[in-house]
Formats: sequence, C-alpha cells, structure tokens
Amino acid sequence: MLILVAGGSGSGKSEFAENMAASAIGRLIYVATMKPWGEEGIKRIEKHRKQREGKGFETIERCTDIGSLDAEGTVLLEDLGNLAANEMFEGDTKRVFDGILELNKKCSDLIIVTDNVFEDGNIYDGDTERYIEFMGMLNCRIAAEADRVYEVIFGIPALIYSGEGKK
Amino acid sequence: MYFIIGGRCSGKRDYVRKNFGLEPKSALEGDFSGAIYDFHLYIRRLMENGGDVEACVNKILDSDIRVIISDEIGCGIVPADEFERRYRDCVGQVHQLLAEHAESVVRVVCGIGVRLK
Repeated sequence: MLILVAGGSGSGKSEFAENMAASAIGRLIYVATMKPWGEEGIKRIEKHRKQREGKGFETIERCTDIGSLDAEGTVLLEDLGNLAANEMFEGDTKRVFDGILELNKKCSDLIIVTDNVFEDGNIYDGDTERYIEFMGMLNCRIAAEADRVYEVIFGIPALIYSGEGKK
Repeated sequence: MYFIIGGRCSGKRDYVRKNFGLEPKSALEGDFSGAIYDFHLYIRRLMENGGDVEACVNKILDSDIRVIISDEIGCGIVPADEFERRYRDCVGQVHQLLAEHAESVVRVVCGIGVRLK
C-alpha cells in the first residue's frame, strides 16, 4: 500500500506518519533523506530521532537514489522535500518518482511524508521556482498512484483520498 | 459557477479538465467564458493598473462563467512590501466573494479535489 502524508511546517505530519507506520506488524524501516547541513540541520535530525525513539524503527540514511534501497516490510520515507532537493541539485530528478515506484514494489507498505510549499504567493529565483514546480508535480503524481492521501492540519489528519484495493 | 482553489502547482487545471471537460484559459487573456485560471494574477494586474477590482469581479460574477481557478497566496509570511500586503489581502477578500457566490468550492491538494462547499 502506498500512502502520501502532506502538510505544512510544524503541522504534525511526521508524528502522524510515524505513528501510523509504527502500528504495522513486521520490519519497520525509516528512510531519512535529509542532509545534515550545519548545526540547525543536526538539531533537526536529533529532534526527529528523539520523536521516533522507542517506536521500533531501523533508520537508513539515504539522500538520493532511493530506488536502489534494499527494503521490505513497512517503509517510512521522510521526507520528499529533501529527497527532491538533493536529486535536483546534485543528482538525477528522474530517480525521485521512479525510485518511489521501485521502492513501493519491494515493501508491503510505503508511507511518504511531503511538504506544502505552494501557498505563500511569493515569486522566487529560478532554482526555487523550479523546485516548487517539481514538488507540485511529484505530489500530484504520487497522489495519483497512492491508495490513501492524508493532509495533516494542526495535528489533525484529514483523509482526502482513499482508494484501497484499487491495484 | 464552480470555484477551484489551491496552492500553485497543486493540479487545479488537470482537476478541471478531468471533472468538467473544459480547457482552462488564462484570466489574463480577458476571455471570461468556460473555465479560467490564474484569477489571482488578474486581480494583481487590476491593482497594478489602478482598476476597480470590485466592479470587475462583480461583472464576472454576473456573467455565465462556469469555473474560476485561483491560487491560494495567503499562507506565507506577511510581506514587508506594502503593495504585496495589499495584494494578498485583496485576493483573500475576492476569494471570499467568489466562494460565497459559487455553487461549489473545491480545494485541490496533491491533485485531489476536497469539496469545501
């Protein structure tokens, strides 16, 4: 089953996704996509590590090329925003969506956490604009493949699509 | 009239193509029939040119337009620039008016339509 969890910064989407993943039976893998940039990045990673402590995750750090991961059971990919940026700036953008489909074939459940970077009305420089367009395209394509899509708002998960068993 | 709202790149035009069978035209082209998109940019241009936003919006509401697509632009930091602040406020007010007059309001997230009204 493929599940997409979207939400803004601090919306509680990570915690929701982690708890959903942790309720599954069997192997539980956390794919961390963030590159630790500087002190703030390291602190952020530490916060997420603490948040999922004791929930039974094995952590795999993988910033690019997630399709080549060896995975099984339940996989939580956190998050799409970092993966997309890593592939865009020093990898291969094609590997993001294709990699998700590959990974989804290998595991029983894949849960992907993604961002809402689309509602501030700002116009940015070229790279950021391209990133926003790339993220929008990825969100739509993943949601179209997903069995369930949630949007988390103020810690409240709204199930906005459910098509379980469609595949 | 159906009002379709959502962040940029959220799949709004595809949603309208699939659900209404209409090809959305840019609101900046000035042909207000069928389905139009980028309504927020139309408001911005009106403001830049000193046009009467309220009168223009009311005229469009009185027409037989079927679908209006606009971007949510009000969920960021309040901008330091005075015009940018007025622009976001004004678009927010216009969106409220459109939502009030619409027979249905759909917010598109990740390409999925969530019916608000």
